[in-house]
Amino acid sequence: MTETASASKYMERTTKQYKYALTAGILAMIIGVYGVFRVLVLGDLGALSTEVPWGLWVGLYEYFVLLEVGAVLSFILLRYGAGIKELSNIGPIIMLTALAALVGALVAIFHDLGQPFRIWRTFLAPDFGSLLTWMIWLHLGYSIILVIELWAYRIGRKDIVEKMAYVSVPFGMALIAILGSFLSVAAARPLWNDLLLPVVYLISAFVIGSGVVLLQYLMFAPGRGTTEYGMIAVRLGRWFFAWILFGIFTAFTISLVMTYADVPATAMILKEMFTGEFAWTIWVFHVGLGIGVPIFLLLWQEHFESLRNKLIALGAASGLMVANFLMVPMNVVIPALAFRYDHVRDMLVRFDYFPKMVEWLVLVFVAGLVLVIFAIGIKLVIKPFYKATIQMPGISAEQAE
Amino acid sequence: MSRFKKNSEEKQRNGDRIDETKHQNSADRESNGGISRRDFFKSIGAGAAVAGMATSCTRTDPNEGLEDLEGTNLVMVIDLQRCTGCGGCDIACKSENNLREGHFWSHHITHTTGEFPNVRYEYLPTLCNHCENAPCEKACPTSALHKVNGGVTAHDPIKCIGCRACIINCPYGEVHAHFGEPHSEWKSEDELIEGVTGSPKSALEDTGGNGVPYYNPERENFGEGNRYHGIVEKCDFCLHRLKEKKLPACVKRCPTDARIFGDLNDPNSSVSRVLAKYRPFRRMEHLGTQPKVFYVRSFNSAADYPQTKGELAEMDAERIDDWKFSDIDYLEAEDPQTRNIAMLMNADRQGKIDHSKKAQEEQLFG
Repeated sequence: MTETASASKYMERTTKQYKYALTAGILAMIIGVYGVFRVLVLGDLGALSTEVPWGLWVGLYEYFVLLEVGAVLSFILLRYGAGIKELSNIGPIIMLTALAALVGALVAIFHDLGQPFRIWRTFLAPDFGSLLTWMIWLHLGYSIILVIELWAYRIGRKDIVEKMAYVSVPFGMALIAILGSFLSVAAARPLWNDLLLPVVYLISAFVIGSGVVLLQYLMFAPGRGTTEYGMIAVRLGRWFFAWILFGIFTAFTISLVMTYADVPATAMILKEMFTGEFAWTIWVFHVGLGIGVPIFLLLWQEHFESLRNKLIALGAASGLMVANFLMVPMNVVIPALAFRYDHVRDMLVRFDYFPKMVEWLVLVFVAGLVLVIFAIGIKLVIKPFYKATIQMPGISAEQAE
Repeated sequence: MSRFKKNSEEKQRNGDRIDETKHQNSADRESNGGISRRDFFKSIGAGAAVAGMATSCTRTDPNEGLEDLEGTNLVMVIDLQRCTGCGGCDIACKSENNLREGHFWSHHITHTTGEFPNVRYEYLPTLCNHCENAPCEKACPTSALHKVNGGVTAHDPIKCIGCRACIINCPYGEVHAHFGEPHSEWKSEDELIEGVTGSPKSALEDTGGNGVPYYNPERENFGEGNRYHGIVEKCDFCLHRLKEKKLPACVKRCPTDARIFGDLNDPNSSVSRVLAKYRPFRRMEHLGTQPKVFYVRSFNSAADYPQTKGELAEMDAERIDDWKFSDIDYLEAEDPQTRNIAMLMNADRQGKIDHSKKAQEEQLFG
């Protein structure tokens, strides 16, 4: 009787989450649709220019790609690599998050194209010498894998779920490798032209991915309030903390190497990034809210007696990091374009770029679309999955799959 | 007749109609191998659309009209000691290619250092380098940027999706994004001096230009006359002119013949001979892009070394004064190296390498 009551309570909660996501998503889409109209009908590309041809939308695209791949890779590493079977029941949520983020990435980059309706050319007349073509085709493959995975969860095919999870690993890794390489091969941009950038992107994907797994576990995993649920959350928090430290180490080492060598083309841009007009985007959002506060919360919660307070701190830490992680690709993409070292004149040239309203509106629209897709996924996949599997709060992995 | 009966009769009639349609559809399906006529036409439509898109991908031959340039390696040499920095090349390019406001396919970098009277001024004409190992071409996902005969990096506006990956990868900043309506400034009705001068719009109407008063319809012979929103654009060595056996506009209009254009595969061409004689430099050679725009006879760069930045120019005065002497003065110099240089310069002056436009045209087009 208690078990049935818990299951029904869980379904009630999921229904609420579906409604909230759908409402917030539709509202955001309504707010942002004017931006979409301006871009697709009037050809307004905001503050983008020949000098700074990529901006907010490319940053948003990269953010979603890191999220979509990072979440899946982190989940698979924890579930199948570390063998944490209790995580099985958030499998469909992670896959759904990844699919929604993937759609968000593609829609964001679609708006960035000068001639978006010619995108079919990359499928019918692709040039595979371009890394961009590979990125588009890998996205296609990755989206098919995620759809099959979600379909398998919906119909309860454990064998397909597991197989597709393994298939998604090389695809995800390739996608991240191409995403990083696409920037790192640009010899014209010294800030990107680094052998390590693809590896840095992979580490970044794991940082945001482990944050997403923790956040989604706290929000969607059944069994909330049980000790087992709390234990897993705390373990995920420590895993997340380790990845943040790894990310800090990577970012710090690279910055140090670039600054120490004092090559003007990179050192001067880095100096401008850390102390210039827009340095607050790094110190407030990227470092402060995205790293500092989450680390503080993750360390502090270890001393809490109450499990509830621990979970609140873990939720706040992962939520803050995942949201502010948007500044990571932004600070990779924009400064490398806004600053150019002029070898003839021996000086750093600066080009102005700050996203215009139309760019923010498209961002809001894309965020709304991601929420709507997530909500539809809750209805089509998550609810049927849990309806079929959840009978008690601390559900076993075998039952979940 | 009651309303209910009327409705049921209507429903019956409608039902019969639906049955007829169903019957017809199933007949169609049978005659078309199991699919309805509507489905059949739908598939035909979709197939035609895909076929149309696929055809348009390969519709144009990139080398059409450029057959004569097959096997050539077109390069440009810019003689910095002949260049006076007049900017005529920039203007010629702008008019020839109907460039919009703020866009320059042929441009220049200037650099002034020092304080009066010890001032150094550097002028470097720039344009697309048509790199052998072109990073823009590699980055393009649809082959909109591609190589044509002569090794020229051309751009097909029809294939361009406007991703701007080429701009990101060009180390020289020579690819330009095209946002918004071209030449919109020429639609303004504001008179520069009210009641005295005309407005941009009236100038456009008077000349009957296409978007811009100085519109050159010949540009349509290769690509678009006016590039439209969302695509990129760049110098293509005036392929529309090369098709008609004419030199690029910037070369043709240079008043001092500082721009020399020709086939590097031809050992007797002006470019080959000039490059054999003078040690050239190319922009950012360390990146391995192998640019096809060479610079010769550079002045001591103002930025290369600290001692040449102007501050020490006074100490360098003796060297500067040397320039006042003609190289002929050095023909009798004691130092054999100086004598050799003077002889080479003198030989050049006597016209052993003909840089004239006529010579260049003859070498390239016969």
